[in-house]
Amino acid sequence: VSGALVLVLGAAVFAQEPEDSFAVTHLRILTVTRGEIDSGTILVRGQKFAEVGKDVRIPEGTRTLDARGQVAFPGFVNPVSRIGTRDQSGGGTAPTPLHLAYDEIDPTSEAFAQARRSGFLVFGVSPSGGPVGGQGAILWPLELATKDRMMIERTGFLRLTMHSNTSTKEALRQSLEAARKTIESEKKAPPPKPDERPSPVVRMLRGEWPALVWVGTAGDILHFYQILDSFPEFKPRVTLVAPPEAYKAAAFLGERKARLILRPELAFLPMTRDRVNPAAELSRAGVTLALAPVSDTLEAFEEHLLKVAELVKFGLPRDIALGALTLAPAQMLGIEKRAGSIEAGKDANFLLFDQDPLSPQAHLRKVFLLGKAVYSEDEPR
Amino acid sequence: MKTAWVLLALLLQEPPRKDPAPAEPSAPKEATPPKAPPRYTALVGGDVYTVTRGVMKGGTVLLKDDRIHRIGVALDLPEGTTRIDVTGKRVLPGFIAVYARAVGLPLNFMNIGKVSDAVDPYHESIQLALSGGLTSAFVESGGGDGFFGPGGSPGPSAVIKMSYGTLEGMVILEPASISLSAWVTGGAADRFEIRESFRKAREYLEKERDFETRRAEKKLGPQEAPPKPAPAIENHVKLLKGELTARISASDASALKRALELVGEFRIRAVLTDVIEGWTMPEEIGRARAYCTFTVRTKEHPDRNLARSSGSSIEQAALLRKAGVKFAIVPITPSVSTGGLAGRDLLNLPIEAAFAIRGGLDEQTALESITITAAEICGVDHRVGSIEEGKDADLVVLGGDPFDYRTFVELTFVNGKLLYDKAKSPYFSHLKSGR
Repeated sequence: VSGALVLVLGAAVFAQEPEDSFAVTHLRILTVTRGEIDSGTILVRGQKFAEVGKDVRIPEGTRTLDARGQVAFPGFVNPVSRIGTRDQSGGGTAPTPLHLAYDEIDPTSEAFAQARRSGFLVFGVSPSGGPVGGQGAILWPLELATKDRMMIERTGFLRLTMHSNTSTKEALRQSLEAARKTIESEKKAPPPKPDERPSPVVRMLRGEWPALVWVGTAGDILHFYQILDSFPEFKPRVTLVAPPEAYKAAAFLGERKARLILRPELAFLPMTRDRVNPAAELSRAGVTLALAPVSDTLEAFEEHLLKVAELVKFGLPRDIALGALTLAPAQMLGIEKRAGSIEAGKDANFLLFDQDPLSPQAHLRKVFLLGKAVYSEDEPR
Repeated sequence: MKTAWVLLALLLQEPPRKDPAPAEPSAPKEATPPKAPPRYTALVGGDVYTVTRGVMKGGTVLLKDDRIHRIGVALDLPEGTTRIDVTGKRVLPGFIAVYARAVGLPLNFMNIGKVSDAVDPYHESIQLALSGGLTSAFVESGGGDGFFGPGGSPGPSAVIKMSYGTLEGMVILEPASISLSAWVTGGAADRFEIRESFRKAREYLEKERDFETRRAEKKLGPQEAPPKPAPAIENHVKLLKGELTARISASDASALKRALELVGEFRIRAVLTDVIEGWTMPEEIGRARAYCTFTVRTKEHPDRNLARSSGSSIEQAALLRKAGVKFAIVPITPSVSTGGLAGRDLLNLPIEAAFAIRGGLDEQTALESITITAAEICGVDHRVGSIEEGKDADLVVLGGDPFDYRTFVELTFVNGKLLYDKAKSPYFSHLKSGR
């Protein structure tokens, strides 16, 4: 009998889950992809946005939260993070494409709670490592979850690091060359074991996996593309993780329609006290930008919006800045179909602010991750 | 008729390739971008100091892409030429530094490998160097002679251009030189090692000559490959063939004599650097056909215990010139900084040369010492160092006499591109010299 009861209960839970829906009404919604909606409604069903708009019909009996005056914004996506890892810097120049960030992650890390309450709901976690550093993980900072439940992609991108010296350039060149040979030989004869997983570098060259490329100087950018340009038959999806001085290469990067991740910082024109806004310069040149917090600490998470607001104050267009927190990084990680905006069908990751998120007075009131409230300001921290 | 053309076109078409041929490692695939029309720039109305062919008053220098295309008075300019009026100003070849530290390269102590893998075209030193009219420089990774003290081993060397913002055409020669300073500073063991390397290099050259002779006589064995030098003596072979220069740091007369022994014994193209007492023995240096580099303002008191002449002399440049020695002048500090307005670093190369004029050197040779002779010492005089048709379009436009301390560089071109304009410089646009 008890067995049957468990079965019935189990079935009930299973059947109920997709019906678990709620609505938030009277919101100003910054959708990121479809402009702003005044006095709109977000209808969530299960883990997804079911409907978003001005005239959403709310099914009878749906839990409804009237959030009059509040502003909804997609959860932040941080594409360059080492959250939850034991911080070890990668050394050496030997390629380590098979290293996994997954293996470095501790799911019990307190940092995930800090991320949730600061509105960071998707992370691209990079492995430590050298020129070909390894495979990055893409995850949600879920509470009390197993590591595997947290994963959006256990292995989702390749991390490369570029330094202008002969050994790094040779290591990178040789890895790409080996991958090219593999791809060419597979064109002639399919691999003997078709289910064997292709190497990460092969997947990157084929454009199946994005690559995040760490560069230390603007000059490194030219050296990296010098290598990439010697493989013109491939069009990998490359995103650079760059220092503020990358603005010096703005024209070069703009011409290539490059994608770039910056820390939200102003710079100085060298040897002067003249301010330069790297994000604004790069965006004006045609570069797609993501803005990532300077570190994985609570302080960096909490001051991130203020720093982004400062960039807007000094000339970065507001819509570019908002996209740089959400959709752009989602695209760079290759998960734009499920993250980065408030749209029907995407994961219900969103934030409620009491006023415009870029206002210095704005408070983050509530955080929803995969359709569940994971933080509310009213609750004690 | 139309079908015939289509047929012909089909016949002329290359047969489709089944498989792409495996490419050489890292060889860029042949790309066929649409060829851009040539870019013409003309500097019109200035006094053109060609360095090698005199001064042309009120001349025009026409640049085509990255080269000097035509020089003349009242040239016909092709359609679409960007015309820059430089009436009343002077057009010179860009200045060349025979030694620069931390220019275009980060100053680090790590092994960077090749210079061409480490240059940073966005390095701030390049912007500054351009503001001083510098367009090419000899650089070493690491620190070079003297940086680590005597016996320090310099890293690989190269001649680079101040091509801000692009790697294309930045490194023009690598390796550019090797250091044989150990011959002077080291002991018997160092000298033995250098002599051994040259002995092996000569042996190798014998083998190479033998191979060539037998090839000419068609007496080669089946599939006999040409000989290749061992990596350890590769540079020594190049030195003996005259394809590479050796740099030897030699300040005082005894060091200079020691260096000249080496030059005489192996008949190599040598550059004597940091020369101070060269003025005491100009004929000897001239007979060895060695080049010199030095700083005119170096102060070294004579040693009263010596019977011979010693110490520094402001007349060194003039005396070397009289003996037919070719030399390049380097500033006191071989780097760039905004603190160098007083004329002590690479931003003010002509000022250092002006002190040689004060010591009796003629202006023409002084100009050569920072342009064509410097290029020759670096091994790149076929590309840069003078304004001649076909050479690289590396030019500076000066507001006045090159050796006047009031003269500013107003425009600098590298590879045909205007990379510095004083009027727009955040560092120098506000400065106006008194007259």
